[in-house]
Amino acid sequence: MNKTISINIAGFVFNIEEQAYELLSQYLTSIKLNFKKEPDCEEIMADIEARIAELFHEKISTIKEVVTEADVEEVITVMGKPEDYVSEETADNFTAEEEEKAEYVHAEEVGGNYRGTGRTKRLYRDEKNGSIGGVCEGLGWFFGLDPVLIRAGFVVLTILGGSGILLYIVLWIVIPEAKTTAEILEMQGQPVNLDNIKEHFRGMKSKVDKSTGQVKSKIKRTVKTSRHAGSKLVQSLTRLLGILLVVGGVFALLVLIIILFGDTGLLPLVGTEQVENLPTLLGVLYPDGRSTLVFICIIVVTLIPIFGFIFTGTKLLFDIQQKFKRISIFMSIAWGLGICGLILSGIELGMNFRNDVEIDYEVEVPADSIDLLIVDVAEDDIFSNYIEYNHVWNYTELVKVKDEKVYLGYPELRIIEKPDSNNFEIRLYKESHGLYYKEAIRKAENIDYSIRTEQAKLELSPYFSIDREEKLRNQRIRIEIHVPQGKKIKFGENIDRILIDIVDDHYEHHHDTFANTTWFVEDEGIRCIECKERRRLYED
Amino acid sequence: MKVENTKAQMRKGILEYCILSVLAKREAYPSDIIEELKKAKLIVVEGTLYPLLTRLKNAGLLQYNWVESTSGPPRKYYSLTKEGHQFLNELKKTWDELHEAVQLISK
Repeated sequence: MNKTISINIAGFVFNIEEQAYELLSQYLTSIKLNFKKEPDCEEIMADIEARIAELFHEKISTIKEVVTEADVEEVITVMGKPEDYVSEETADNFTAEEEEKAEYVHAEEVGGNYRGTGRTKRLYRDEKNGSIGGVCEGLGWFFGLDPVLIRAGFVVLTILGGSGILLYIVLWIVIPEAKTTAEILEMQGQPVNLDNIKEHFRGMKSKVDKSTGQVKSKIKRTVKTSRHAGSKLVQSLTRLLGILLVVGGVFALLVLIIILFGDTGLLPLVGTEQVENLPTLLGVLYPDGRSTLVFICIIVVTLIPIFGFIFTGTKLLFDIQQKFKRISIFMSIAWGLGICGLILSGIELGMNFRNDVEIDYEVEVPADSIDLLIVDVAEDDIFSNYIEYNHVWNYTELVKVKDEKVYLGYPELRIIEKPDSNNFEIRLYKESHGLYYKEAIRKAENIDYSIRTEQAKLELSPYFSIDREEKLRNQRIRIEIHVPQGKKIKFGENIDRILIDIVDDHYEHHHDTFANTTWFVEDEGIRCIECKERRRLYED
Repeated sequence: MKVENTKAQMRKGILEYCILSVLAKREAYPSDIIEELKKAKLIVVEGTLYPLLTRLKNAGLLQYNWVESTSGPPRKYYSLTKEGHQFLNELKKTWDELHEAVQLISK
């Protein structure tokens, strides 16, 4: 029993056996290739198809309704093999190239095993053998290189700025896929003739039979000897690349696992002791429920390339030819989704910083008519254990997540000259960002900061805190002390635990340390007394 | 240098002349032409005829009529145009000269 297909040639319908159909369609494709350059390709093909229809018509009768493989072969004998078209067709310009082809035809006729090399190779994508789109395989065929090397090239390009992925996508779109047998033969640089087509077709069939009949042995070692052979150097380079990829990949994996699941010591700008691990950091940044998603995205986006390196390295190292097409596609998609997730959640996070609100509070000073205000910072039970204030480089070092609170360091103290008054004025500013204006106000209000006042002394807290659910929204604390003329401010021992900013109309005062200094407001601005040799710096 | 090549070349050179000669006698469709050529052992496969005919037709040497067929699609019956006849005469002159020359030399 044979399956038949219904086809239409030159407006006539024939029932044709499946295998005969394959043979016929390959035949038509390959002769069409010979006429490709002719301006009347379509007309010639139409004439040929009409004649084939006529020949089929003669074969069909009421007792034999189906066109068989033998019929097709007979038609091919009558019409001529594709090689005959080449030799007869190019009578007009008989060049050296043609001579080679004619020679080839001749060799074929006497049964020689001549493999034509004069045929021009064409660039196609080899999607059947490729991992993703078959771009690398196709380039490999074209340049006669092991596709793994080309793949490695793309990986290198991707690492150096990510252009590899873009280039791959462009090539994927631009290069056509080798679909027909003729195109596959062209891609592989083999001459397109009936024997090669038949051979290829049988090869495909036996492959299909094998895979359905028995479990196909998937790991083929050095099958493509024709391409691999030749260069020992290339092989050893391939191995070396494999080793580098595996070793590098494993190392990167270890580092990544420590960062992702261990402590955050290796993360830039974040100290281990302040924020236990990455999920905690994400938890105080991203909106509720989003941090888990972001964490998963980070895992996906970072782990997949590393696994890819290890995987590719292993393949190179052991010369494994098996394709993991589905896994590769799945991984690529997952990676893309991860990137999208990170970008979107990043945008969402950015939106949460849209509105900026600052709330102003007045702090009562118990003694109104004092001449000297002593300002100091309270003992620090949060950061002082592990931070030397002189070595703090960045705000992010002064972030501590503890229990349900987030502690933030470096409130800012500004000393401002106040001309028309006799009394000190102390103001506290709480600032926060938020998605909406009201939210920003609430977040600012919820900043916890303590100022203790007693007589002529002001004790500031070295840190402020927010609830964990409030999230980090660039919350800031600023204390402003407005000092009337003729009055003094004395800083205590621990004052350097906060940021000091002394500004008058003329100068901005900078010091290595403000501890135990006294500042006097006079006509010409704010002046340091008891500053010893460390006088103010920027004078005009 | 392969003898097959030279043979093929010689055949190709006179193929157009022969096709025009066949069509000068009568209107014919490709299968008929093939039969004539086969008799003269000039051509073996049919497929190669079609591009040649198309090229001659586009050069204005041939024209064709569609004729209904009882066995299959309608056929193209080719015949010579006026230019075709002139072209053929030119070729005939050249061929006769060549024939004489070859006869003379290979005697």
